[in-house]
Amino acid sequence: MSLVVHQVIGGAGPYDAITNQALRFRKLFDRWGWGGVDAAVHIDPRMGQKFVPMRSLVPHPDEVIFTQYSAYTPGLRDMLEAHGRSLVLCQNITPPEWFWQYDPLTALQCFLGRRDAARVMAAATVPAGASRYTAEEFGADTVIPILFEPERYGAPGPPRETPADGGEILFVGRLCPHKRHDALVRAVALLRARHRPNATLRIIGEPVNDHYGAQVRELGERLLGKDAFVWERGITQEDLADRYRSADALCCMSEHEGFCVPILEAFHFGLPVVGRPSGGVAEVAGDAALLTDDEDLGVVAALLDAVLGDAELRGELLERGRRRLVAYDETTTAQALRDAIERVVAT
Amino acid sequence: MRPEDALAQARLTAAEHAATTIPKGGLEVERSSEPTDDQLASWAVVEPDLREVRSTRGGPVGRTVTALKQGQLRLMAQYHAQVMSVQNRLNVHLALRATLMREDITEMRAELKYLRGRVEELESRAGIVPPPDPNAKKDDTAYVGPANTGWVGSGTVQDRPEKDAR
Repeated sequence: MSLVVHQVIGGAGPYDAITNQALRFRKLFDRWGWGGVDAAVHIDPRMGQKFVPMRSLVPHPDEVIFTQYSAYTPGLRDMLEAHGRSLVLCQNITPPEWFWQYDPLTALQCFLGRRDAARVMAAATVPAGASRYTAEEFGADTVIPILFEPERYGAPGPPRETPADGGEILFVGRLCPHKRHDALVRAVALLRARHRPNATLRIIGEPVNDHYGAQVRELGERLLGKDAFVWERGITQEDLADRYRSADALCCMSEHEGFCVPILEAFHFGLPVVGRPSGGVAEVAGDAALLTDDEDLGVVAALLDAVLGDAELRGELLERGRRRLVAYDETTTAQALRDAIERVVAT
Repeated sequence: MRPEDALAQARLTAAEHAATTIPKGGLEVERSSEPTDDQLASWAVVEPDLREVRSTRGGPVGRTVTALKQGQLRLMAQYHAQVMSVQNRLNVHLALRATLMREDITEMRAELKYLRGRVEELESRAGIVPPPDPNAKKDDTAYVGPANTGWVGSGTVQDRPEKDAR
C-alpha cells in the first residue's frame, strides 16, 4: 500500500531527540515507498530544508498526519480536528510541579502541554504512547516505542574490570529537577563514604537553565569533590558512546520518565542499571535493572556497590539487559508504527 | 547473588551502615503545585543582570563580543530603565491583584460555607426537609452533616468565619 504520511512536530533542531526520531521515521517511510513531508512549528535554521513550516502544510483528506507530541504545539489540535486521518504518538510531558520553583517558563509549557495533550489525543484517529505508561496516562491503547538503533552507537567495547574500591557511575539526561541529580549525587556520596572511597560520578546533559546547572555542580563538587564529579554537556554521539564504554554502571534517580532511552543505551554497552521505578523506567528495564523507590539513598548506594562488586549479579543483569534490547528491536518498533498508520487508513 | 535478592540485601547493608552519613545542605529538589504569591511578586520585577549578557563563543572573540554587548547596554541604560519601570509598574500591580483576588476567593468560600449551613439550620428548625439532589456535587470544603440526614452543611452562628484583616 502506497501512502502519503506527513510528520508534524513542535520544534525541529539538530540536537533534539524528537527531531532525530522524526528523521529516522522518514527514512523508514522512504523504505516503504511512502511519500509526505516533515513539518514543524519552530524550525532551527541549521535544519536547512528538512522541515517545512507547519502553517504551510495543507494535507489532502486521503493523506495521513503523524505527529509526535512532546510539548505544547499551537495550532496542532485545530489541524488534527479538521483532518480525518491522524496518528498522534505522545512522548509524555513532565508534570509542571517539578519546574515551578526552578524554571517557571518550562513549567508553564509543561502545564499547557499536558492540558492540551488530552484534546490532541482525542482529536487523533489513532492515539498512541511511547510506552504503556504514557499510553495509559494519556488515554491511548496503542504503544509505539522509541526507535532504538544500536548501530548508531557503535560496538559496546571489551568487558571492564571494576576497581575494588572505585567504579564510575554514569547518568545521561537533561539537568532538570525531575531527573533528581541531587539524589544521584547523594547516593554516590554515600557509596563513597560507606563502600567505595574512589567511586566517581559522571553526568551528561544540558541544564534546564544555567542557575539550575550551577546548583547541581555546586552539590556535586561539595559532596564528591572536583576529582570525583564530572559534568559534561554538548558532547558528540561518538563521545557519548565512549563515556558509556568507560563507565561501570548507570544510575537513574529520575522520578518521571515517559520512556528513558539511556537504559537501553546502558544495556547496549553492557552496563548494569540501578534506579527508581518511575514512569516508563520499570517497563523499559523489565527484570534487567535493580530498581527501588526506597527513600533511604543508602539502599541505592548498596545496590550500586553490589552491581560493581558482585560478578554473578552483574553477569545476570547484563544477560537480561541483552534480552530487553531484543524486545525493543528496531524492526519491532517499525512494525508497530506501520500497523498504527495502516489502522488510521482503515478506520 | 541473584537480582531478585539484591534489594533485600541492600536494605540490610544500608541499615548496617546507617551511622555513616554525608554532609547536609545544598540542592534538594522539591515539587510545588503552583508558583507562590511571593514567587509571583519576585518575578514581577524585571531586573536584568548585566553579567548575563555575554557571547556564546569562547576565546578572545567571545570576550570581545561580550564587552561590545555590555558596553552597548551601558550606553542604553537610561532608556532601558524607563522601559522597565513602565513594565514593572504593570507586573507588580498584576501580581498584587492576583494575590488579593486569591484572598477574596478564600474569604468568599468560607462565607458561602457558613451561609449554606445557616440556611439548612433554619430550614431544619422550620421543619423543611430539602429533597436530596442526586446530581449535587460533593463540596469538599463544606461540613458534612450526620450521615443519616444526607444534608450538607450544618454550621451555627458560632462557626461564622472571621473576616480576614487586610
